Amino acid sequence: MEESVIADSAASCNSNRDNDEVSLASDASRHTISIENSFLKYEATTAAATAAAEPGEDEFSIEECADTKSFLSLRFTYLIVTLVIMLADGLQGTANVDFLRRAFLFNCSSLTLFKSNPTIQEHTYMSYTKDTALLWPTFTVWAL
Amino acid sequence: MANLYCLGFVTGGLASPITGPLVDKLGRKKSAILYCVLEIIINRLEQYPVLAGLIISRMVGGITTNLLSTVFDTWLDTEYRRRGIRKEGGYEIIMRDSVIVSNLAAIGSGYLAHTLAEAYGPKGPFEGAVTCTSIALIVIMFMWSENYGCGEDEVKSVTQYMRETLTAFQLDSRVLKLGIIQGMTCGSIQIFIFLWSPALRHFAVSAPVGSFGLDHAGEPAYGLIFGGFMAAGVLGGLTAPTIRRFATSMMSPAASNDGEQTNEDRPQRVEVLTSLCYLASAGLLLLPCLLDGEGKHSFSICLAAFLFYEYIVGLYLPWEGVLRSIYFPAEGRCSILTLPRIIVNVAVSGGVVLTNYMTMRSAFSSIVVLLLLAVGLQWSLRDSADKKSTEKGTGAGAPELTRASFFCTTTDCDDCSVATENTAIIDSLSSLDKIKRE
Repeated sequence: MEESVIADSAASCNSNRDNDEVSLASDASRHTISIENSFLKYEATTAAATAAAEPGEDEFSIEECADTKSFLSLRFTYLIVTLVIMLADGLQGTANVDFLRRAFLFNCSSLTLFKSNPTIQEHTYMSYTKDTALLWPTFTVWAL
Repeated sequence: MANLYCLGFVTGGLASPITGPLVDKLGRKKSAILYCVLEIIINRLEQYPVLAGLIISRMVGGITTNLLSTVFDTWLDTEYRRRGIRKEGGYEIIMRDSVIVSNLAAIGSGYLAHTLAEAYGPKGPFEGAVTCTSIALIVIMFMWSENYGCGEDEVKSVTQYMRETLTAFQLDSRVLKLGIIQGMTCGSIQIFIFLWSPALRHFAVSAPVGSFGLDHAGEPAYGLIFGGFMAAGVLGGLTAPTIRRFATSMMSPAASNDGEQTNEDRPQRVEVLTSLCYLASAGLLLLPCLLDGEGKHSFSICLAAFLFYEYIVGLYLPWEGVLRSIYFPAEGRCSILTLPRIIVNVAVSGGVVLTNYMTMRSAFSSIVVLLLLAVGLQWSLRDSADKKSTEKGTGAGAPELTRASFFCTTTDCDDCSVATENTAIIDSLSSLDKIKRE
């Protein structure tokens, strides 16, 4: 059967080169289509087999990607707010309030609800401003 | 200043029973916006030389402190659950980052305040605070989504939230216990903030000149020490996950029925670790009571103890966040969080007022007592968690709330509808992927 097909092909090749070329091209295209189909079938079968063997693997990439994106965006939005809020909180600290009030020549201890107390925070702030040179080691840690 | 400090805390304490339910009802995003607006008003108000303005700002400041400690935390928790993030240990990572960022911000704010005060005068830091809060306001408005203390379809009144909170405390004593524990530890930190500088000043008198932490005049270098505390906190936050993993590997988990156990079943015994941290903190803060006031090395020992205490605070703060996520139910979390804050505010106000009448040693002893009570309660929490799980026959050693609330965000769980929904979404996504491939 195959021999006859080959013989037919050879005969047609001998008789008409153009026709032969068409025939060969047609065979080649059929063959290519067949291979493509086989490859697709093979690929589909392999994918199905892989999915059956390892059900979590295909899901993992999508799941992980979406999860990571969502996690990172949540982490960023939360931490950026935390950072600026905490900076603001530090800037309006008790020591700064006292410093400002003293600039207004206003004595905080006049707000006596219970009893006057030595201004610990005031002392802290004055020393704090005095020790700015000593802050550099701290900022080295911060920069690291 | 002590009285002003008290005024804010007293107002916060009085307002705390109503703040949480209001936040749950109003929505966390709106409450965060309200916080920013109130803070901007306070910072503007404080720039005028009016006594009434200062009093009002401190009183409103007490309420905003309540908001600060609850709104952002609960927003994060609810958003984390809502997004169904399955990243293992993701919540703890954000909590750890939050501690690190807060400490770095505290260091940075000191320097920034000084720079702004030099450039723009005493009003400079407050203008800086207004700017920072405005940035936060913009970020929240455009990047945050809204979430509430209940489901989207539900509508609850403030009293209903309060009633449900009390019911939650009655039904599960662990929720109340945890609220009290964290109230006490937070209170102890606040009292420590007020006490550390006079304590170091007291010991600095007899310290040799040139000791680490002293300036040229023989006074404690407060700026450097404060920066050191914050850096210790950052270090604590950075090492917290590693220590937790190490401690888990050291503590052999209870055997389950099928002989297999995962970290999802047993949340790395965070209860044990936090109670150990509280115990260590109590021991460290006991040192100022025991040290000789005229000892040569008392200052250095006390400073080292305080630095180590700050490190431990940096360690346990992320774990406390994880515990809240484990034990506190998702609904009405803000209400549950704010009620125990009454304890914080009473403890701090009382502690600060008592500094007028008590010696420094007695004040430190009161912190130690608070921390030891926290240790006892935390340990009982661990026991009850084990007991409940054994009764259920899981042998997992983790409270069942763990499975139902926190770990559902990271693992599949039949106990929780959120997890089921997440699994369904992921299943449909993977089906879509397969279809695309075919």
